[in-house]
Amino acid sequence: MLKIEKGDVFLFRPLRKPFKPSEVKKRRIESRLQKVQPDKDALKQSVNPALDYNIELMKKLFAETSDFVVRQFHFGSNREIRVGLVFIDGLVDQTSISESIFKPFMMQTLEGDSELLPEDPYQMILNWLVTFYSIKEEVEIGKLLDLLLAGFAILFIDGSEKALAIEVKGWDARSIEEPAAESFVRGPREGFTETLRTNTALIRRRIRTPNIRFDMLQVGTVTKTDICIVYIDGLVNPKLVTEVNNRLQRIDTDSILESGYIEDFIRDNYRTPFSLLDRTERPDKVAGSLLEGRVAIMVDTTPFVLIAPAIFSEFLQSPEDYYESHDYIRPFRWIALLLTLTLPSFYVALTSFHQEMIPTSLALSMAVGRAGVPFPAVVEAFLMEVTFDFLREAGTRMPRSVGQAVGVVGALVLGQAAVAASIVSPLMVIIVALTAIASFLIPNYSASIAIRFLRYPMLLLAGTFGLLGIFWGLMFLLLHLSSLRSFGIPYLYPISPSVPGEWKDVFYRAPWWAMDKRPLLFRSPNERRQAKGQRPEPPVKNGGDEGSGKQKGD
Amino acid sequence: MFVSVLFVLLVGVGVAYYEIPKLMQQEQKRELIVFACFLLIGLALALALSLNLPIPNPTAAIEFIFDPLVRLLYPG
Amino acid sequence: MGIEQGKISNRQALLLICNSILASMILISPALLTQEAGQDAWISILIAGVLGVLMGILVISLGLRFPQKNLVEYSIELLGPWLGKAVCIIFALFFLYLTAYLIDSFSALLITETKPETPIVVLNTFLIILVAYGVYLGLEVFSRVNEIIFPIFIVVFLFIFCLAVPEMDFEQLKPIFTHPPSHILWGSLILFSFYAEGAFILMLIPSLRESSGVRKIAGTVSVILTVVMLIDVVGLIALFGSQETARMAFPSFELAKTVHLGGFLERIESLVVGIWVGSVSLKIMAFYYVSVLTFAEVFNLKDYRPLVLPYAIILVVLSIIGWENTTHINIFLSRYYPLLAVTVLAGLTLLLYLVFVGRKSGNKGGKVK
Repeated sequence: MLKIEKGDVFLFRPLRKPFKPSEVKKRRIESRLQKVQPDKDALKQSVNPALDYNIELMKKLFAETSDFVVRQFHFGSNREIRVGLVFIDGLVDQTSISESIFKPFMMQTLEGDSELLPEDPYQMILNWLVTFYSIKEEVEIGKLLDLLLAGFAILFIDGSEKALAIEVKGWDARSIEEPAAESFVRGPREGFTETLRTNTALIRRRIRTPNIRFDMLQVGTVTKTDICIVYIDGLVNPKLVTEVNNRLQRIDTDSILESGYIEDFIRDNYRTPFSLLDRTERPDKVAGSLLEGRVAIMVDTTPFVLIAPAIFSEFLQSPEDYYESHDYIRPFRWIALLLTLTLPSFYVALTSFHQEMIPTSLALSMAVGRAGVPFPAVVEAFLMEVTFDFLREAGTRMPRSVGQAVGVVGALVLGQAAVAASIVSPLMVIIVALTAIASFLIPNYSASIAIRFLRYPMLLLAGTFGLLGIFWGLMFLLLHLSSLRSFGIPYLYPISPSVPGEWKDVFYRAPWWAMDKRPLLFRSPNERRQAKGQRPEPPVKNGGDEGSGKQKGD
Repeated sequence: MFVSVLFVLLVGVGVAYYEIPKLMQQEQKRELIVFACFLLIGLALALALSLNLPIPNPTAAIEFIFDPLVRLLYPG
Repeated sequence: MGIEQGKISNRQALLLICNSILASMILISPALLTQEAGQDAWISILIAGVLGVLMGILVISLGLRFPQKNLVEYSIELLGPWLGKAVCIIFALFFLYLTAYLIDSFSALLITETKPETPIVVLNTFLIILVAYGVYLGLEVFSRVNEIIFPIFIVVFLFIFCLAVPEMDFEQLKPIFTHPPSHILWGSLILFSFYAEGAFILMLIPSLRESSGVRKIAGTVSVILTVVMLIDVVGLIALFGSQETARMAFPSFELAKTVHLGGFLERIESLVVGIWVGSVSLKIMAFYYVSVLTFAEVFNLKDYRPLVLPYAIILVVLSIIGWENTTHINIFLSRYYPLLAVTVLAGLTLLLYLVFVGRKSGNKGGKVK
């Protein structure tokens, strides 16, 4: 097996430092930020003892938008304590607000318990009145503002220099559903949702170790999106975590609306159709990757979680492979990959350059099929492939009911009628259909897009140079793939640099008891997963049903 | 012939356009000089080829140098 | 150490050397060998195998004297700046020439076998684009691709060979020892000139992860290559007879043409061309890389990459003007090329090694760098 040396310079290699702006540009950037962010001085100041001042400031910041709610009221036996509650409607849970804030305040006030009247109303409210479990004390207006926007309710108290932020977050969210893009037969049917906290809980439920870490940071100067770096301390290489963190810190943008934004910012190489980070909606897949010593990046407001680093062979793996034993589908996926990439171009190369390679009987029937077709094979193939891509895209974007109609149009009108009108040959239709089906065998959507895109250049090469062009293209692709790295990990690992010991998870899936080590190249400090020699077998001596039963007792 | 000359020149400009800004940015003077020499040699050869001018053939030179040795040693 | 090139493992180095020697040897040399030694060609192969081991030991022991330095650095140290650089430029020019010739032989194969309508300039440029891309990506990348391609190359070769076995007649190998020893020796010299190309590794020794394990490589490479060549040449003679093999331009390729499988798999030689595109382009990449790297080191550049594209233009021209026709190639390869390769590669290595040994014994007792 390949020994990996310690001094591998490229491992977890950092990205190039971002371009340093000049002074002029810096000022321009600042003015850009100023337009979308409130006045710095207003944010820097701390809570004023005068309640009205605070409330007015908040109102000014939000400029009377409709979902900004201010509720001022008095309480105490003589109604002498004035407080103001601000929150954003829709981000807070209405029951919590009324149950744990309004109710205790109003009730206590009505009872007029004079003993409760304290010297320091703030302490009393903190310790006695607010009946909610999560409270933060803050003094800075800017921080309060961030909390307010994150779904906290802010309680200003007249005469106090601190304000209370009560975590009454609660908004309508999609419940946990089966992910639509990654369907399967066997396996858990939970998918991530748009709420980060729910997603972290889904991971926690699967991996019950205190060592699992959810490091939070915020990216996006306007959207202030929460991003969570997930890893298992002790299984992951600390350098990888540092590198992921550095790459995320490097991002300076106004908005992150989906993990795709992040992916574009932190990938090692942007000049490639292949995605250098894996993404999934499935918690079981994320948990599996974390256990291999990888890092997941969760982004709030999207169910798609990024996994870094990614390797190419993983795009041909589905989590289901690990649940269903003796699955022969892996080799089929590799064949499907090759077919998607080269089948149309092989057809073109064979029909227009190397007719002698086709068996005679097939060549004859092909010639009959192509007899009326007015185009050369390349044009024919291009026509059909483009049509297929149109149909596929139309089918995905349309509502489901219309999508079926698209299928009918594709199959009947474009397929059958085109053959009948001898615009394309019947064999071409078969080839395109086969290619399409093969492309659906690739479980990862973005990998499948990349491969489907690459069949166009392959077609062009096949049309101009024949088989030579196809092999040239494959060679070029192989060079390109070998040059890619994801967080410094060679993309084609473990095929090249080849580690035959790890092919048991590439070309087929070995039983779980045989995969007793974590993938070598993620450099996990804790390499071994499980005890060796757990192959389930009947006892060697005295085979047979009765004997084995007795031996257990011995 | 005209087309091929144009093509050669285009390729030369393309290569220069691709490499020179990078080298200028990194202020690598020596690289720039060596690059320019190689590019000029290449372009001169390519132009000579497309204009059907005679090009010194290394094979002929090698054959000339080794001819006596071959006569001496070659058994056939 | 000079230019940053990435690191390759010993196995990658082994496979890279094997591929860099074998890719053209397996196609070109059988015809040349049988021209000289007829059915006794296998003796030439054995002799060349021994010579190859010797060459490998020489190269590796020179390289391991300076495990952290490449050829340019220590030849300057041994021969002085001017002579050292001159020697290295000869080395680089030799590989430039070799690269051009390989591209030419590649398109020669395509033109004789598949008769494409595309002109030779386009074919050569097409291949050079691929090769230049690989060189631009660097040693690490193309040696990793080689790790995939070379095993496939060997497997396909053996597969086709097994299919051809039923049609072989091993009586054609008799009688043995009918050719004069001088012819057999010349045959092994031809083969040795291919082995000598392995000297390109002199530039790459500092890029090896563990240079200590390199010693084993020399022997392993020779054994692998000798076995493959023996199988190939013996099989070819048994299939076609030595005289017909000698008349063919690319006998190993003709062998693929004779193969039938189950009545439907015919004319698979185009697939063989496909594998060969990969294999030979990797070979060209290795030599192209070494040549460009040597030039970059000689001129003391920080990176070899600026030279890659201008080099590609030079290569296109050189690969076109080299030879008038296949007969010319044939004569050149069987007479002049072996002497050229032996003089430049073996001679250069030997020269450096002798100077090193001389220096070492010269200041015995003093410190040896």
